[in-house]
Amino acid sequence: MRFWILCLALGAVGCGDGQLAMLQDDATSNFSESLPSAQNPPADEEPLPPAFTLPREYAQLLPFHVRMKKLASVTGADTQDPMFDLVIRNRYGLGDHNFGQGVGADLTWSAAKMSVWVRAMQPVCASEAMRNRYPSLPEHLNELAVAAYGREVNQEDLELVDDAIADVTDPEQRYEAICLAMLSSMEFVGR
Amino acid sequence: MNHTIALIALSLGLSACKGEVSLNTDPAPAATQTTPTTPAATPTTPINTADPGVPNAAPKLVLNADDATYYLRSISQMLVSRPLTASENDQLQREGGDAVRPIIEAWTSEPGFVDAAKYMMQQKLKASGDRDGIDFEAPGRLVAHLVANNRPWSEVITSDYCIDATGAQADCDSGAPYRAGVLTTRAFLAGNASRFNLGRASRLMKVFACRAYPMEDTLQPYLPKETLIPMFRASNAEEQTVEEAKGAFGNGDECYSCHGQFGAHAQFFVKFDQTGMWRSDATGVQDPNGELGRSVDGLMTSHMEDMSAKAFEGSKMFGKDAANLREAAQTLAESRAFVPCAVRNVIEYTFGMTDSEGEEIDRELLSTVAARATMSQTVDPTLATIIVETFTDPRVVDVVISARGGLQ
Repeated sequence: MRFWILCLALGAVGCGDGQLAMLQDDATSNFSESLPSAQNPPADEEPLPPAFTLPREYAQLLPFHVRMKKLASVTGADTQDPMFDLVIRNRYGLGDHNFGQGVGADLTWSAAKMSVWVRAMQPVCASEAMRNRYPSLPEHLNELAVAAYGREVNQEDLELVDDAIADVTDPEQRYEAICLAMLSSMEFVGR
Repeated sequence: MNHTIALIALSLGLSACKGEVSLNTDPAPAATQTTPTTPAATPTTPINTADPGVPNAAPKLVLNADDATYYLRSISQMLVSRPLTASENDQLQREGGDAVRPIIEAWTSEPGFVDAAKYMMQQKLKASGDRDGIDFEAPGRLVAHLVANNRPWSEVITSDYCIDATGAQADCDSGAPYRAGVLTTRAFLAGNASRFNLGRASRLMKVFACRAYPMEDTLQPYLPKETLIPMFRASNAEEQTVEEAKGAFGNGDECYSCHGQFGAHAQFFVKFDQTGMWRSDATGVQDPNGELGRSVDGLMTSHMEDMSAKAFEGSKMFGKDAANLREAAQTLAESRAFVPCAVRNVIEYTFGMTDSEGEEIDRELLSTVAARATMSQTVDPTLATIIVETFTDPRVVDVVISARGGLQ
C-alpha cells in the first residue's frame, strides 16, 4: 500500500514531461533567448519551423536491455546475478524482443507490466548487494537517486518520501517501499 | 487485490499522463495511395548531401547549464544506456552548451553506445533471437562490431564479412558468392521473405534509404514496362490483362506505379530462397501450381518477363547497373539517400518515434546533418559521427528544449 502511494508520487514527478521527464526544476528555458533557432531566428531570417515533433502522447519504457543495465549499475551486480532471475524469466512480458520467435519489443507501460516489474524488483530490493550499497533508506536516498536517476535527490523527492512513509515504523518495510518505488518509477524505467 | 490493481492503474495514469498507450513501430507506408498513372511522381524533396550551401563547421550550441543538462538527460539513456554521471553533470554545470559535444563524443566510445546501435538496428531490421536454426542475432552482431571498431556506417550493407557467435569475423551465412553486410545474413533474408521478394526490397529501401514505393523517379528510375511481366505493366484497370491481377489488390490497378521500381530492387533477391539461402539454380519463374509470386522450391518469382532476365540477379539500383546485391548495396551506400536516412533512423530511435512520425522530420535537417557528417570525414562517416552531428545540431536541440518549455 505504502509502496503504491510512493510510487504514484514518484511517477507523478515525471508526469507531463513525457520522455523528457528528468529534471524537476521550474526554470524556464532561456535557450530560445540565447540561440538563433526556430523560435528565435536572427532578425533578418524567416523563422524555421520545428524540425520535427516529439511524440508527447506516449509514455514509453526504456528498452529492456537498458533497464537491465541500469539495474546492474544501481546494484553493482552483474546482469546474470540470481537477484534478476524474475526479471529475466519475464523478459518478454516486460518488453524484450526476439523477432525470430515473432516477439517484437513492446515498450508500452501498462498496469500488467508494472505489476510484473514490481514483483521482479522485490528480490532486488531484498538483495545483499542493495543493502551493501544503500544500507538504510531513506538515509541513503541520495546515493540511490544518483545511481538510478543520474541526479541528486531534491526537496520534492524528500517530501514525497517523508509523507509516504510517515507512519511506517518498521525499517524493513520502509526500505522495501522506498526501494520498490524508486526502481519502478517512470523516471527509472521510462523516458 | 482489486484495491492494489486500482492503485496500480491510478499510478500508471499519473505516470504516463495519457493512460495506457500504444507504440506502433511499423505502420504501413503512407506514400502508396495516390500515385499517378504516369510514373513521374516525385513525392518527396530529393535529399542532396552534396549541397554546396550547407555549412561544414560544427554549429555552436549556446545553452545555459540547466538546459544543456536537461537536453543530455533526455537522450543519454537511449544513446548510452545510462543516466548522466556526476562528472557529466558537473561538466554541464560548468560549461553549459559547450559541454554537449564533448560529452556525446565520449559516449560513442562506451559499450552502452554499441548496445544502443545494435538494438536500434535490430528493431529496424526486425532481426533478433533465433528460429529454425537461423541466427537472427547475426545482423546485430555485425552492427555492434562496426560501431565498436569505428568502421564506416556504409559497411552495414557493404561489409565483406559477418560476425559469428564467438565475435570473430566469418563468412555470412546465406551462402552467396558475395557478401553485403546484414543483407546477406539469413536473418534479413528469411525474416523478410515474401512473394515477388517485395518484403526484402521494401525493408532494404525503408531502413537504408528511408523510402517507400513509389519513390521519386529521380532516385529510382522506372523500369521499362515491356521488361516486366504483364501484370505489373498496368497503370490502370484497362491496361490490366492478367486475370489474377484484375481484382485490384495491393495498390489497386496502378501496378506499374510501384512495381516499375519494385522490380528493379526485388530482382537482387531472386537467388535467395525463403530460408535465406543463395541458390545458383534459381530461375525466377512462377510456379505454375503455386501461389502468385512464388517460384519453385521456396524461391520467389521475378518481376522480369525475359527468361534469362528472370534468373539473373543483376538489376539497377538507383539507375545504375549492379551485377548482384553486393553491387546494389554499394550504390545505395553511396547514394544521396543513405546518410540522411541514418540520421532519420537515429532521431526516430532516440525519441521513440513511429515511422509516420519520422516521415515528418524536416528533410533539410536530415540533409544538413548528413552533409556535416560526410564532409568532416575522409571516408564514409561512422555511426558515431552521424550521431554526434545529429545531436549537436541546434535544430534538434531546439525541439527538445522547446518541448520542455511547452510541457511545463
